[in-house]
Order: sequence, then C-alpha cells, then structure tokens
Amino acid sequence: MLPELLERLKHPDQWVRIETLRILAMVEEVRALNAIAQVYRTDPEPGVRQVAHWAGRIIYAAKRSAQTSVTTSAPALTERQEAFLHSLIEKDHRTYDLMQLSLQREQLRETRPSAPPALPPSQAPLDLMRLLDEGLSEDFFS
Amino acid sequence: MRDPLEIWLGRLRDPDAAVRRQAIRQIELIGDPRALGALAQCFALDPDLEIRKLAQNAGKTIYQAVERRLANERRHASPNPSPDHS
Repeated sequence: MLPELLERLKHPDQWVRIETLRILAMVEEVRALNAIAQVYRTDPEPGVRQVAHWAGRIIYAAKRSAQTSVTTSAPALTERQEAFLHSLIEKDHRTYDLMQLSLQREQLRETRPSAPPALPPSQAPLDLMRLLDEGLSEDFFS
Repeated sequence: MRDPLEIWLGRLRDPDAAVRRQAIRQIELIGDPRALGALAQCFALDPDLEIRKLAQNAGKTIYQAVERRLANERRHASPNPSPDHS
C-alpha cells in the first residue's frame, strides 16, 4: 500500500496529493519521510507544500517518540515528553486550520478570470530533508 | 442497497460528535482501506481532539491490517527457495 501512496504524491490533482499527505501523517508512516520532504521542496502548490510540512512534523515527532521508547528502558514517555508531543500535535492542528483557510483563499483567487499563474517551486530557505538528516532540534517546533 | 461504508462515511460529517465517534468505530470494524482518506480528513480537521485521536487509531488499524495482508500475499506468491527433493 505504501508504494501506491507514494505514487499518489505525484498525482496531478493537488487535492489527491493533500489527501495522501494527510493519510501518511495519520498512520505516521516514517518510511514516507523522504518522499514528503521532496514534496515540501518541489511541489508547485504552496498549499500542498504547507501540508507536507505539517505531515513531516507529525511523522518526525512520532519517529522520535518511537526512538525514545526503544532506546530507553522506560516503558513509556515521561509525562513531560508526552505533554510536549501533545502540545506539538495540537499546535500542528491549529497551524493546519490556518493553512486550510489560506488554501481556500487561494482556490477562490484561482477561480477568478484574471488569476495569476501558479507559483514556482518553493525557494524557502528551510530545507526539511537537511533538518531531518541532522536531527531537528526542539526549537524547530516552537 | 446502499454500501454500509458509504453510510458511515457520510456520518463522519455529522455535527453531533457522538455520531462521528460511532461512525469511526464502525468504519474501523469494516476495515476498508477506501475509508482512509475520510479518516485522515477527520484526523486533520475535526474540531474535537478525542475524535481526531479516534480517527487516527482507526486509520492506523486499517492501514496496518492492509500492510500485513499484502506482506503475506507477497510471501506466498514468491517461489519457494528450498531445493526440490523429488
């Protein structure tokens, strides 16, 4: 099923790509992190790139949580870590709501006859892949 | 007769959180991967934190079941590497 989802990240319809990113975030599919980072870097739609960022953060937080539970003898996360992760997820959902509003505004603009051409791929300085390779700091989430 | 999955998917948009909760449980029981997109939408957008978590757990259960089934199918489809003793 994963290959099929990864293929859908290249679908020409941006809503299919968004739905796929949401699914990958929901199931916390860590094997999709590289593909999500690629979408974040190169997708022509700003809304899709934002959802890729959101999904990447959720999956990365899950990956870290799993690593913590494997590398320590403690059976579960500490209360502080648990609270931190919950706050991240809550914050991500608030961010996501704002992203959806922004996306809807863009959709409205696109439906106007004199809509501007699509934006080029992101030139954002934040390189998620590099950050993933180097290990994100907790500052990244704040 | 209408597909039961479709009925429960429709109820994911019900304004009553209790109805949405029940729909998620039923969708998890049905276990159809076609529901993953709708569950992911709940996970991303539902205003109720408990429902978002419920949707995530249901989505993970369905996804992992599909992954396990596909892995088993691949194992059975691959030729047996052991030598032929006939």
